[in-house]
Amino acid sequence: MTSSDARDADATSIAESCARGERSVESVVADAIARAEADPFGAMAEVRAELALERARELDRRRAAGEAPGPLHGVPFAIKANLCARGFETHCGSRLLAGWRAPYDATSVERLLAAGAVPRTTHMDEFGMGSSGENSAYEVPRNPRDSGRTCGGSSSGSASAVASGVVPFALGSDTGGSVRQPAAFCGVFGLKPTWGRVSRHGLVAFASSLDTVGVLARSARDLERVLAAASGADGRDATATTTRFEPRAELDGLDGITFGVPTFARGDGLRGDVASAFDAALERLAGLGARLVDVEIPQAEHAVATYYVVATAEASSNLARFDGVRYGERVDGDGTLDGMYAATRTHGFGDEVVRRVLLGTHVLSSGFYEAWFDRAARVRRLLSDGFDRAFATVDAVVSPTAPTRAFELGSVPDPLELYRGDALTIPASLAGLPAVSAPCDVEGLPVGLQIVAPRGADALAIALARAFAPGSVPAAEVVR
Amino acid sequence: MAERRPQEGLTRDADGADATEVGRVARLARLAPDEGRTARLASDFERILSAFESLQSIDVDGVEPLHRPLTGDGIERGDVACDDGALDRDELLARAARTREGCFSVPRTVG
Amino acid sequence: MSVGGWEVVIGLEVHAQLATGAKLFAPEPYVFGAEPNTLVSVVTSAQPGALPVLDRRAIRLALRVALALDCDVADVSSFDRKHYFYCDLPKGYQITQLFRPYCSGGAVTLADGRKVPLVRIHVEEDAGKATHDRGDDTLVDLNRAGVPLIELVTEPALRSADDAVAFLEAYREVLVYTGASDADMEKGNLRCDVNVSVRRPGEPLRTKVELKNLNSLRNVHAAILHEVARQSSAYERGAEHEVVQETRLYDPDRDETRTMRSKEDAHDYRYMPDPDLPPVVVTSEELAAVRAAMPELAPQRRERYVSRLGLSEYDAGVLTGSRETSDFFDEVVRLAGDGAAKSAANWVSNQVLGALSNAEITASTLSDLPFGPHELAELLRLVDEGTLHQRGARDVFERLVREGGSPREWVEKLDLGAVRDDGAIEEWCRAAIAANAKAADAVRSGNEKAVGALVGAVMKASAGKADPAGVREALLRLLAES
Ligand SMILES: [Mg+2]
Ligand SMILES: [Zn+2]
Repeated sequence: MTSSDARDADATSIAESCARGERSVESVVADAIARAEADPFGAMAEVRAELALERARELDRRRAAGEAPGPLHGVPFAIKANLCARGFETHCGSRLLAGWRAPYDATSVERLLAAGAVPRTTHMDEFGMGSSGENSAYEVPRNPRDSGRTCGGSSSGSASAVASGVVPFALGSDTGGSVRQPAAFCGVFGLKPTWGRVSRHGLVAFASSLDTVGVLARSARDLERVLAAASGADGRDATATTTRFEPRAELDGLDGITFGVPTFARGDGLRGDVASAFDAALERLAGLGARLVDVEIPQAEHAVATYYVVATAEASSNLARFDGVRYGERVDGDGTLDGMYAATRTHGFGDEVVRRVLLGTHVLSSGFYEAWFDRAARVRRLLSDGFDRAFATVDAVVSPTAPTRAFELGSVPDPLELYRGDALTIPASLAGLPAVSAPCDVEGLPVGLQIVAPRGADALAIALARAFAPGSVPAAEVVR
Repeated sequence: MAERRPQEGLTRDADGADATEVGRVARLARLAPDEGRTARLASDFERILSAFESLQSIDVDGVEPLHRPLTGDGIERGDVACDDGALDRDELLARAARTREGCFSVPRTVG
Repeated sequence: MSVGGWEVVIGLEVHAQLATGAKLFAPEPYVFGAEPNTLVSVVTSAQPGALPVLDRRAIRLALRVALALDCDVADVSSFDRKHYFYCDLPKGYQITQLFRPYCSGGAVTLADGRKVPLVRIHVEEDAGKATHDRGDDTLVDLNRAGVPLIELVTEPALRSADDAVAFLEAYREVLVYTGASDADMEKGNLRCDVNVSVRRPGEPLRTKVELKNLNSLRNVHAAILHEVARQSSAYERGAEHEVVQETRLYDPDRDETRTMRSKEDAHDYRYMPDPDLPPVVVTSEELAAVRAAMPELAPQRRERYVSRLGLSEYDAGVLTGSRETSDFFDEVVRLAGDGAAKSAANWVSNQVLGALSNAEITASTLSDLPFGPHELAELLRLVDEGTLHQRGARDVFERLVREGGSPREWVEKLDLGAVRDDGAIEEWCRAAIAANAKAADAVRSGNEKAVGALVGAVMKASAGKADPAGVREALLRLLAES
C-alpha cells in the first residue's frame, strides 16, 4: 500500500493489512502524522506525534510477540475535542477549557485504544453547539470538498479530517445532528447510534438526553467495526444499554426492505438541488429492490422548537459546572464569589453558548417550566411514539440529512436560521434512534442520505447505508 | 408554581439589572454580558421564543413527558464492573486556578 | 406551646446521612475526618464528562426508614437536578428528588405516643464543605460532596420547641436502630431546618420563617424559643413587616437569629428531571426483602425486654437508650441465657454504663471498652455457679474495665475464688466471736446489726474470699447455739 492508497484506505483495510504484517503500524502512523501536521483544512487540534509513534511501535512489538491484533490494530483516528482522552487537551472548542487536560479516558476512547487505534484530536463548535464549526475559540476547520465552505458542525474537525484522508475514521458527538450533518457536508459516512448504545462517560455533556458518541468514516463497514469496538454497557454511565451490539451480515440488495419517506423529508427550506439529489437516492434504493412508502411522523414539524427547548435547558444545567473553581481559566471579576463566576463564564463562553444557556435558564425558570420545558418533553414523547408507530410498517425512515449543501463560511449569521438547518436530523435525536448519513455522491458538493432505524437497530441502519453506498468514498484531493 | 404565558414577562417593568428577562436569567446563570451583547442577545431571545410559540398549540394533556429515551432499565453501581475513577489530590488540585492547604480557594463568601 | 395567646406552628426538614460509607452516585468511599479532598473522584469533582451512577445500597437503607415510619413507598421514583451556584456544589446542581420522591406520608411516633405526620422523605446528595476561618479566602473540601442523605419533611404539626426536640429524639432512634444512619449531630450527620410561625388559635397559617444552622438539640430548642418571641412581639407591636418569609441563621453565641436570605433574592432552583439517571424501580420483592432484613427497632426491643425477659419498663428504657447498649445487652443475654437477663440488665445499666461516665476511665463508648459482652456473660456465669460472690465479681469487673482479659483468669490471678469450705469458715467465725466479745454480746442481746463487725473480721481473715452472706448466716447460727 502506498501513502496515497493509505490516505484513501478505510479503517478495515488498514487494520487488516497491519494485522497481516503487510505494513508496520509505525509506518501507517508516521504517514498519518505527516498528513495531520500538514493539516490542509485546519481540522486538527492536537496530534502528539511522539505519543502516537510510541504507541505505534508498542503495537508492532506486541504483534511481533504473538499477541492477537485488535479489530482496529494500527488505525489512526481522530477524537473530537469534547471526548476525554488522557493527556490530550479536551478544550471542547471553548476558551474556558483552554489547557484542560482530561484526567481520564472516555469509555469510547478507552475501548478504541484497547482495539489498537492511535489517537489525535480535532476542532469543533464550542461544547457541540453549532452547525458550521465557526462557534469556536480555536481554528475553524474547512471543508475538504470545497475549502471556502463550512464542513458543518459541530463535529467539524472530525468530518474534515476524515474527508481529507488525515484519518480513516473519527469519533464525533451528535446531539441534534452534529455527526450526520458534517458527514453529509463533507461527503463521508456519519453514524449517530441509539441513545445509550455507546457510553457517554467522558463525553463532555451538552444535552445529556440527546448526546451520543458518533462515528465518521469513509465506509459503512468502518462504522460497524468502530461501533462494535466502542459500544456496550459501562459501569460509569447509568443509561448505557446492556444489550450487546450484534453486527449484521452484509445485505444482498434491498429486496423486502420498506423505507418510509416522511413528510418532513420534503419540508420547506429544502433546497432544490438537495431535493433532486434525494429523489435520485430514492430511485437508487428502489433500483436495489426496496419499497418506498410515505409515512407521517406527527409533531415532526415541531421538532426544532422541541429540541431547542430541551437541549438548551439541559445545556444550561450541564454547563453550570464551568465556574472557575476546580478547573478552567478563572477571571476574578469584582472579587466576590458570584462576581468571579460571572466574569469567568462570560469571558469563557462564546456567544452561541451564552445564547443557549440563557434560553435554557429561561425555559426552566419558575413560571416558565410548564409552558416550555415540560411541554417540550411531552411533545417529544408524541414524536417518539410517532416513530414507533411508523416502524410498525416500515424498516427505516429516509430523508436528506440536511436541507442544504455545505454553505460558505461566514454566510449564515442568524442563529434561528442555523437552528432550522437541523430540522431533518433532530427528529431521530429526540426519539433516541440510530441514524446514518450516507454520501449520495461526492462529485461536486456532497449531499447526504439519512437512514433512521428503530431503537437499538444500529446494525440495520448501517447495513442499509452500506447497501446504498457500498465500498469506501475517496478522500478529497488536496488542492494547494 | 404560577402558570404564566410564555411570552409574558419577557420584558419586565422592574428596574435595574432585571429590567429584561435576559437580565434576570443572565443573573441566574451567572453570566454578565455587556450592554451591547445583552441587547443583541435579547433580540435573538425574543425572536427565537416567538418562533417556538407553536409548541403552545399542541394538545399534550395526559402525555407522559419523555426525559430520557432509555433502552432497557439502565444500570446501577455494581451492576457492571468499573474502575473507581479516583483522583489523587495533587492531580485533582493541579487543574484548579487557586488552591491552599489541600483545598480549592475561592473569594471569601461570609463575614 | 402557647405564648401570650400565640399558638406556635412548627414544621421540620431533617437531613440524615445514610451510613453506606460510600457516595450516592460516585464510586469512592466516604470516611469522616479524612484529609481534605482525598475522597474525590472524577464524578464528585464534576470533571467534564463524568456521570452519576446510583449506589443501590443507599436506596435500601432509605427504604428501611420508610418502612419503620410506615410511609407509602413509590414503585417508581426519580432524581431531579436542583440548580444553584455555590463553591461547595461542584456540578452547579444538587441531585435530589423533587417530582417523584421514593416515599411519602407516614409518621414519627414520639415517646409519649403522639404521631407526627410526614409529608415525604427523599434521597439526595450532600454538598462539600466550605471553611471561612482559615485566612482571607474561603476553602473548599469536597470529601463530603456526594454523600447520600435522606431529607424528611414533616407536616407543620409540631406545636412547641419541646415537641421539636422530642421529634428529633424519636426520629434519631429510628435512624440508629434501622442502621440507616448514625444520626450524629456533632458530625453533621443529622441536620435540622425548622419552619416556624405563630398565629392566634383557629387562624389560618401566618408567614413562616426558616431557621438554619441548628447543629444540636439545644440549639433547635433555643432557636425556636427565640424566634417565637421575636415573631409574637412583632405582631403585638403592630410591626407585621418584621416577619417576612426568609431564612434566618441561629447564632448560639448571641442567642439570636439573623437574616441569611430574604425572599427578594430567593433562589429559582430550576428543578429538572436528571436525564443521566434512570428511574428507580422498587419491586414488591425488594421491599419484602428489606422488610425481612429489618433490624429489630427500639419499641419492639423494649416490649421484648419487659414481656419475655421480665425487666421493668424503666430498665428496658435505659437499655434501649442507645442501640449500642441494647445490642451489648442482647449479646450478653444470648451468651448467658434468658435466666441471666435481670442480672445482665443490672450489670449493663449500672456497672457498664457507669464505667463509661466515670472520668477515670478513658472509654466513652461501649466499643472503646477493653472487654465485650462475652466477658460480661462469663462473669455472670462465674457468679451464678458460685465460683465468685458479688464482691469478688466487682473486683474482677474493675480489672476488666481497666485492663480487659478473661474473668476466669482474673479470679485465679487475684485468688478471688469463693471459699466454700464450711469448716474453714466456722473456724474463722469462732475466732472472730472470741476476739470481739462486745459485738458478740450485743448480737446475743438482740442487736442483729452488730453482726456486721463480726462479718468484717471474718472477711478480713479470709482475704475477702468468703461469701459475706454465708458468713453472716454461720455467725448467727453459732451465736444462737452458744
Ligand atoms: Mg430543604
Ligand atoms: Zn435537602
